[in-house]
Amino acid sequence: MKQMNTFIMKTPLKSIKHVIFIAILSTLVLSSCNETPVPIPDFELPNTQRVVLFEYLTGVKCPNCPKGSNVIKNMLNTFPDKIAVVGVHGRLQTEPLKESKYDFRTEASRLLEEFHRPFLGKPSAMINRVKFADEPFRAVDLVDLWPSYVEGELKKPQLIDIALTSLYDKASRRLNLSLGFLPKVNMAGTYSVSIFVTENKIIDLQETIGRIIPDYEHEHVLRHMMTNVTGDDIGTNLSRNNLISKAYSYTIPSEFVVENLDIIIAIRENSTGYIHQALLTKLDQ
Amino acid sequence: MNPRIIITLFIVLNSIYGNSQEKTEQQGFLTGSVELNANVFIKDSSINAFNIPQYETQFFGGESWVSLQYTKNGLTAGLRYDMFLNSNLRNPTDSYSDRGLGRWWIKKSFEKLEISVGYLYDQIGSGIIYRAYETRPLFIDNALLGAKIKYRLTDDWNISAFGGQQKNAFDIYGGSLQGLSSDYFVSLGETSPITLSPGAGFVHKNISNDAMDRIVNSLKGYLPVDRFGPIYSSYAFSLYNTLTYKNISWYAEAALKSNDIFYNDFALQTTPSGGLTNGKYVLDRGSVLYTSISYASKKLGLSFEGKRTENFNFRIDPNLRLLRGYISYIPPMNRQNTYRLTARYAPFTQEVSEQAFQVDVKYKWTKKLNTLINFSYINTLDGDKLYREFFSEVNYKPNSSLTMNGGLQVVNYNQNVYEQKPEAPIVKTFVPYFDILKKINRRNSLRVEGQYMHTQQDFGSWLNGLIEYGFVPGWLFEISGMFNIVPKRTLIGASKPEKILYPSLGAVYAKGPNRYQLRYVKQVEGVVCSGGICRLEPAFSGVRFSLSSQF
Repeated sequence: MKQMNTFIMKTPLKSIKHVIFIAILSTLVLSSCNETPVPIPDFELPNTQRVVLFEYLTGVKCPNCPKGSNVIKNMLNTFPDKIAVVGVHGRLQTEPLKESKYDFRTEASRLLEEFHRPFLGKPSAMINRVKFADEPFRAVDLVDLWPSYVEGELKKPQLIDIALTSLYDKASRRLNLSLGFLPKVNMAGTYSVSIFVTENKIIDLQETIGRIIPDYEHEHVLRHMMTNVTGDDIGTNLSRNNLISKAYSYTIPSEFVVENLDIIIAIRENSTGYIHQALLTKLDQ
Repeated sequence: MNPRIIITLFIVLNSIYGNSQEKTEQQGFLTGSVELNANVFIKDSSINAFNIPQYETQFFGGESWVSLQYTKNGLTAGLRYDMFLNSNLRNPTDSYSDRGLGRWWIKKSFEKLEISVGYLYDQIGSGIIYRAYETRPLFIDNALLGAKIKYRLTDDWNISAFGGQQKNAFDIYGGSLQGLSSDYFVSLGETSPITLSPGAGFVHKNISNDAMDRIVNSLKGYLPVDRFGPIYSSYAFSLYNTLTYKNISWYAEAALKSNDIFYNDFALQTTPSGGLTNGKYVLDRGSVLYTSISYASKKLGLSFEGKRTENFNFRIDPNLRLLRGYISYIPPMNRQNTYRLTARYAPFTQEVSEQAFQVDVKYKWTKKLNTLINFSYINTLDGDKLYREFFSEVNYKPNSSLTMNGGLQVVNYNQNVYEQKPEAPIVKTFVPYFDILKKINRRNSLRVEGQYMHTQQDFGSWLNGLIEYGFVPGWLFEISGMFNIVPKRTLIGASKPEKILYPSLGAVYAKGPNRYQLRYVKQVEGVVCSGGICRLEPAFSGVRFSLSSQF
């Protein structure tokens, strides 16, 4: 009986202490909501001649890719003439749908996607092929982060200029490119050039979340690479103001609509893989 | 801490105190475990087991975990060495290689005080506001690298405080976590007492500057209608209690989260052209209400679970996706099935919008006959159907050498939401199954199981069978096959749906705490779950060896 009394006396006291502890915790919660929000600065277009290479890993069976494409459209409006987009339809989620008119897969896109592994899923994007801090891979899979990474790249100094002269013969569909690379500083390392041929305004099926879009406008579809997938070497330890020239030619297949083609050139430092500068030109210009 | 120093320390300690599992804690003892998986990848494009480096160029991959733990006089110290070689665990569609010290920790008790430092696993309540745990098959290891202090105020009342940063493979995530919890026990009455185990917990999350920079930069691209002022800190608080009375046990927990940034895949974002797309960062409060009540008597076992979840995606960095960076763990609301076809469609716990309940009834008719019925119901808060499961089982054991199980499972599974597959209808399955175990004699046993899944959706209907022969000492041989008997899906490279057999052949040897398994496996793409945490795994073709050992 004595033990019972002790128990009855102690239990409410301990319960009260416990309730007090919980009350302190609750107070912590209620008093902890006064943080001043971080202001969102207004957007300022970086004053630069830099152009960012944006390699977009996508596919017609990728339900989230239309969202990625929307983000790209917005970025092209936000950063006019500062982004060169290459849509890579490699292997993952690229099998055409039953009613698809086109198969966007090419050997170049397959190899390029392999070259960009690993990535978590699609859509993903390589932005100047940078491995950003806190990202598990070079390919960034969270589309909302793309604009900030592009903006960050545009704020970096431009080290090299690319000049391009293109001659297109309509009769033979032959395209001749004369390239010039002019370093603005001495650049250590070995460099290579990649040339992508992409096509816009292709209307075909596309999966999206919950449905298939029958008349989706596919943009930036990689059709061909005029160089090796990993690029063609242009030189080692480039000297300031020392012009490097290269020439390429390509016969455009009849199934490609020339007016919708873009030619994209990118300069890469081989050891890091970093893209120093890109250039986009339209063949209809 | 340098791994070599720690390993050397263990070797020295073990040499001093000897390999003495039988020694008492005062004398000190060393324990450990080894887990190893090795896979040989054999490309099979007919089942879509291809297109990842392991099938194309690497052919071999695996992972291992070696743990050591030393205990003496209230001091416990441990370490774990992890190795991944061409592993497909981190990302099922890619290859991952790395190695190093996966975990170390030290725990010391001083009468009423207990101090732990290192990589710590822990949880508050059922884990809704905080759970640091490891699930190897899903590459989840979100241990907290930090410290914890636990103080025993009375015999019935503990309080704890902890703080640290979350583990990210061999690195840590930016940002920090701090928490407090209190657990109490009270017994009311002497005969048939009512016992209460109330508790409360509090967690503070602070995201890193890098994470904030990324959010701010993303919000810069949002239209004003979708923008908000981001904050670094958020808080979660939970109250929970377990009440027991006679054969009844009732657990209830209410968790609240303050304004917190998270990525809501279902929120609509306005585009500059005026259109809408799915998914954006949001700043919102969250809540989870969870309860489970169970009753058990000699013949009848009853349990009920209910849950309501709203905006409770609670991660150390709002930019993280998939299974990365979770602070919270929300209990699943469906039965954890074991047979291959009854486990095929399992629901992933939804953090943004879910209301669910589950009922489980067991009845023992006689010593030989038991039955079980389970029903799970999961919807979004808007009432959209996510998951239904009716599961029944009859267990009949006519004598000590024969056990028979059989039953029926009916599932409705929202593949569109759980696997984000466009235009996928609700998958409706109907699965009768049986399992018979015959002990031939003291040394030999035979087990046969079979399931048939009837469905018009996804891959179509399946037939699965398994024969398992076991004999002393510790050997088990199995042969099984999963056959797409009425196929509905056309795989890559095929022109029409094809009837495909996914065979497996394996042997297991177990002796004491050691277990070795070698299997040839062809496995269809499917969802792999552990406690309501799931991910879609691609098809597998190859040979798997696994070893687990404790010492």
